[in-house]
Amino acid sequence: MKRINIQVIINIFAIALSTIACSNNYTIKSELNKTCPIYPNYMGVTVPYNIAPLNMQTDSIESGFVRLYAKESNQMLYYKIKDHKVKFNKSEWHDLLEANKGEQIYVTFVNDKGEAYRDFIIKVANEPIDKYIAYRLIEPGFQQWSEMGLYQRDLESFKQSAIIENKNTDFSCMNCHSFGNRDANNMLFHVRSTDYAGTYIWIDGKMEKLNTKTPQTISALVYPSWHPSNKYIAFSVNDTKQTFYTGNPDKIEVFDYKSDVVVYDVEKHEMVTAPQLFSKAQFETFPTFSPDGKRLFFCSADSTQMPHNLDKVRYALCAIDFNPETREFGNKVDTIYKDIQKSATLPRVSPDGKYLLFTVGNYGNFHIWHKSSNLWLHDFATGKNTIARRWNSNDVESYHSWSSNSRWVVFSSRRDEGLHTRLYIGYIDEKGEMGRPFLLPQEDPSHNNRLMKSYNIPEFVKGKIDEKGYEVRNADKGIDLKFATDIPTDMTSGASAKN
Amino acid sequence: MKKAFKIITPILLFGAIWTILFFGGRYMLYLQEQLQLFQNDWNYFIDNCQYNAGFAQMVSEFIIQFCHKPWLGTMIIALLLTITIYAFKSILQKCGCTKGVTPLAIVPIIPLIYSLIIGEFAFPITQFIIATIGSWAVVNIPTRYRYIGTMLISPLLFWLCGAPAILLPIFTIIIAVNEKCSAKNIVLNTTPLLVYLLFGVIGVRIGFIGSMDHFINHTMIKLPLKTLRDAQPLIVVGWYSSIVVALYGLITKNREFITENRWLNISLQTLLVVIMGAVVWFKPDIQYTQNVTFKEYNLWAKLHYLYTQSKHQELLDLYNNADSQSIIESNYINLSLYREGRLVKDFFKYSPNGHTSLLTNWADAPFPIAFLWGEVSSEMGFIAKSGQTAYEGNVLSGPRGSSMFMKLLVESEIIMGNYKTAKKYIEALENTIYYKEWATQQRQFLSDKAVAQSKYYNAKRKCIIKGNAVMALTNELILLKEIIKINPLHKSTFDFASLMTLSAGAIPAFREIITEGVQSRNFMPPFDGAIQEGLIIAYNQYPVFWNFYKVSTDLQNAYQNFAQAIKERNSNPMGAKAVFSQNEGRYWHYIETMTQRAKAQQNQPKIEQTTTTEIPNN
Repeated sequence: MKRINIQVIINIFAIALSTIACSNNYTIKSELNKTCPIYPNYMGVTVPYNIAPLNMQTDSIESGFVRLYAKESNQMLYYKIKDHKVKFNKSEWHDLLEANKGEQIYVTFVNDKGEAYRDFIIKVANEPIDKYIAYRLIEPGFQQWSEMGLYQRDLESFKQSAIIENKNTDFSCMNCHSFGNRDANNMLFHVRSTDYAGTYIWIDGKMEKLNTKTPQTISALVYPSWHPSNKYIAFSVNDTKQTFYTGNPDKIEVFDYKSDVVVYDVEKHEMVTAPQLFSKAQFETFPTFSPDGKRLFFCSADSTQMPHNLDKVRYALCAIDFNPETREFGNKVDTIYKDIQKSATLPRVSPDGKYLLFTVGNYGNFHIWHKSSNLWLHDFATGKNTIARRWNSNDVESYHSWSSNSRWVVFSSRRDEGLHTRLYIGYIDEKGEMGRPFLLPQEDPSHNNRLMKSYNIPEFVKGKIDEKGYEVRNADKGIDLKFATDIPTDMTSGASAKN
Repeated sequence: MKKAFKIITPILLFGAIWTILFFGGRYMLYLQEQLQLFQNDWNYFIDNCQYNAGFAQMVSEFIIQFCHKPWLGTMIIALLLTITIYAFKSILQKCGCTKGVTPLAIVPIIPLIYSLIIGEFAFPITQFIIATIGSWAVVNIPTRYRYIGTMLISPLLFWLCGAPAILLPIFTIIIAVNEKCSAKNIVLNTTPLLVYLLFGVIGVRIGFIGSMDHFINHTMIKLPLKTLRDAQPLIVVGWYSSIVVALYGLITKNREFITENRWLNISLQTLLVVIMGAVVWFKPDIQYTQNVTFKEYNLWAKLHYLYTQSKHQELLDLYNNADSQSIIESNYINLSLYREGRLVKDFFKYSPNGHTSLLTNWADAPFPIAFLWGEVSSEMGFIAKSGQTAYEGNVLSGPRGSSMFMKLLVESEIIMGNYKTAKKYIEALENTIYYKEWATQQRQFLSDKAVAQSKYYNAKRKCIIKGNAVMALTNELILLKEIIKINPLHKSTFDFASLMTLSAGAIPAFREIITEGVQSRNFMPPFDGAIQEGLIIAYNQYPVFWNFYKVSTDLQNAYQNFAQAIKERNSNPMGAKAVFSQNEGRYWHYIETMTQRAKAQQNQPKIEQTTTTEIPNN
């Protein structure tokens, strides 16, 4: 009797299973001659083969399925749409992309009546992307902030982990994280406003705390860029303030009263600079080294009374030679980009040395708040500056960084909803052809709709970064930086020298 | 009798707790509700549970949302605290207490109630409720499974509610000794405590828990007391004293120690609460935060409740026979007057404290007062400022934002035409119980066409000062004049600007506002109340303007009597006094009787200057 009962249960279970299996009926009965609106809009994007699944949602279909079809490998995968969302199986997704490098995946959304929307393609690039990106998550803040942190995201999965959160440092502000050669062991960031204030820098994994305000400089060190040798870091020093528009859609204007550029010698704990980078007559900011370390790019504008003339300040893109052996700068400043109607900021050179990517807006230097701002590309081979049309939108595009293989660019954009910046990743091939950028994929595609924070300063990193909170909390009082040589007072735009 | 007592006691306890919470803390609890945003959303649950004690945080937000209706919220909290008392009682009985356990179990709840009344966030309360109920569940399982259960549950409890979860392993040891377990078993029962501590240390090390400061804050042992809000940890020390007493009994091998010394325990904790209560109620300058006393904050919470619940007359009645003591009180009074349509008529009847009576500087007050700026700015048509202030308040309310600030944000983003951003805030509010309906209604305005058809939004949109004007280069008054120019029909801008200049004693600026208001319209606006009174002072030398601006004859005559009484003050003091009292609440009376402080303000008629600020994100 007992045996019979068990047999009956097994049979019922088997029938139930087969019923469930049979109910997975992925049949397309008819075709709708229209596209299915999806979020994020991944139609026609180019992705690396090692990217996490591009999960999506659509308001048009509550339940149904999605078909992924790869012609090259003749693979066809089906995934259910549940509650308007489709989430792809991670390993199947990776296998599919791996098998279709350089090819296209056809994506078809089908509703519960079996009606298929017009399919679209996702292009799979031949080149991979760095495994991690680091960014700050912060309210797109005006004056106040609450919780913030620096985070890293594994691009092959959806895993995000904290590098450091400000609850570790009495809710201080923390900013300007930066990496030497995209190496997780060579990193820095600033902490402000609490007892933990200072610049924290890791060289080959060993931490130093730096106190970077000097009598000669107008502020502590601000915007960083590492020398490829990791022996130097270029910084700007800025007397920065912000104000608010009364009705301009840009809402906020952040501007410098003064700014200069210095180079920090990591081994000697000294700073060096040159008159061309430290002038009273100019605002110099956003330095970055060339991949060979022999050129320093920076932005420069004629100094003027601020904020009265804030919409008249236009930064040009400049470059100066730098000798890493002697720490000396060239005498000549080259102008890479200058437009009397536009202002250029945030130069970043691709690791292969072919391109310089920068942000152009109508005026000023804090383009993250300028709806006019777009990404531009300087081609070193031709000397031409062109707008990166494929990557830009009608809203803000601003901070950007190159992947280590020079094929991918991650940049921040406000195109989604106008306030909170989101990360987009764009592709550029060897010939300079760009692919349509894609939004950083999330396990739950509605994640960005709920998130009330902005992604800030995205940087590619090749390896996983260790959690830094413990080290920062236990840091000593830090090393005071100094200048290698005295700077003549008439050269400085320091607090005492300039009004 | 005993059975009836068992039924009646919890009911009485519940009733007592509810009464104390409702009558002592309903305004503070309401304000807490305004400063948070619980989301009825599965993803919200997942997001919260990723962090240590995030579950407790979420539960506290869930409970506090019901304080939107204070009677309901306080009932729910009272019910939970009553359950906690009985859970704690059960634990104490397991620890060996046999007599008088109920009062002993009540005592730890007293600091929690007190904590709620002083306006502390409910998060620590839910931490302890979860820790107690979780501990109760585990200590009641059979002895032979208990230590394993404790070992498994302790980290889980720690994850759910943070450091207060230490209750469980400690009580497990005490119970093991009480049950005369073997030495081996007692050692075994100590393991969960070690696991707990190890979990805590590792948690801190890997950043899961946060800094040691953060950890200590969660364990509620941070000292010393600087402000009332810092009193929270001190109060909760009372909680731990129950454990200390129990441990002492354990060390002295006196199983009945807790019962025998329950009065010691009760006395210690009651004393703690009484001392804190005395400090609050008899030392009025005790600081709630670094800048604000508790009594001020408590009153503001009440004013905020009355204003946001549209109980304007009730709010104004508080000041019928009493002067407002602070700028913030004046601001709430004036907002209520505005809502009642009496602002211009009765502004000077409520003892205004200078021009900031209309727009307080929120930098000098706790951040909930940013609400006043946002609200007043919005009414004045100064939308950019309203949006900015609402945003700052929303950020400071915490990582999830605040319902009251988010409502202001929805409005300002719709007015500015940022529909995508407005939609995002609407979606967040739609995930709430009490704001869902309002939020859904706002969806209809997510287009230029809809805004153009909306009387409310369209009037405000016309107030936007376009172009590259920045607040750093100007002040509120100049901007208000600009709004009057571009949207002369926006009456509230005109009213607020006029009253600002009048209360600042800035007569030339008042004349400019009047001129601008008249020139920008095709018709003479009907001036009334305080503005007519101000016109008499502004054109004192040219009475012909009184008629031009249609100042009523009655008012002109009243002023003539008043001016005459001032002249004759020395010869006829009684008569002058009578005329003075007849004119109380009129502008010329205000000008004549301004305090020295207000006169100092008169000498500095500069309206609040907006400055540039440090930036948090660069």
